[in-house]
Amino acid sequence: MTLIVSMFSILTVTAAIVALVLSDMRKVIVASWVTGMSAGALFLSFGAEYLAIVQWLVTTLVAISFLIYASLFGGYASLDARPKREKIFDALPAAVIGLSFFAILTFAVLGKSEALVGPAPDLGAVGQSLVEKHAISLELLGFLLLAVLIGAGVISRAEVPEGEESS
Amino acid sequence: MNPVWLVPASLGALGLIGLIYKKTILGLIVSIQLMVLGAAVLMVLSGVEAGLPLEGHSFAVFIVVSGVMQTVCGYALATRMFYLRRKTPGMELRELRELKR
Repeated sequence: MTLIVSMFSILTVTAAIVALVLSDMRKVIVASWVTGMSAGALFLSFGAEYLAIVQWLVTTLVAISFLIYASLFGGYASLDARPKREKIFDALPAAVIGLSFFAILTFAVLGKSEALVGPAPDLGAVGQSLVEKHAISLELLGFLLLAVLIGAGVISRAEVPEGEESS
Repeated sequence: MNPVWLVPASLGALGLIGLIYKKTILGLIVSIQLMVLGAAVLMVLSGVEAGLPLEGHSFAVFIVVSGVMQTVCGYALATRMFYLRRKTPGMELRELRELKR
């Protein structure tokens, strides 16, 4: 494993742990952004340039939208009002289930090969693969995106007081 | 085994822990994002390992776009909850006023 891949692997996991542990939403947003950016760098290391750029764009836009949302709706304030004892009680089953998940995934990839090098496909090949081999999936994904955007607009509309509905 | 395979496992596990432990909507969105990221990294690594990088990249693109969809849904729900939170005390006050009458 090259030095760059190890460095970004460690950075990805560390930033994810920080995002999980902290309760201050501003720091969580920054840690989440670092996780996404370093994962994009990992994509780049494995020849997925297109995916790396998509990942960087998506991560940055999500982080910016987090900031805008938190500024508009006061999301920086901690809404988790559980007492400390209850938090510890809730953390135990979460840790057990998460560690079990980690163990299962690690067991599943135990037999994988050490060498992770191969020819990096260019952008044209990725586009051709998406359009020719996965055309229906791509159409379905686009339709779902449209449906999600419309649904999100409907769900998040402002509440109109009952007396002002007719005006 | 190449240690980089532990990255998607770690991201998935951390996302799952956050999904169970976190109680705020923004915390849940971040946790789901971690899980989606882990799945995307796993797809890319599997594609490279199997000698089918195009397939891995294509599925990873689908997963990343699905992550965007869940984020949009999460924001919509968070916004809805914000409006409901503002609305609920008002309703309670109205009920109290009616009871007083």
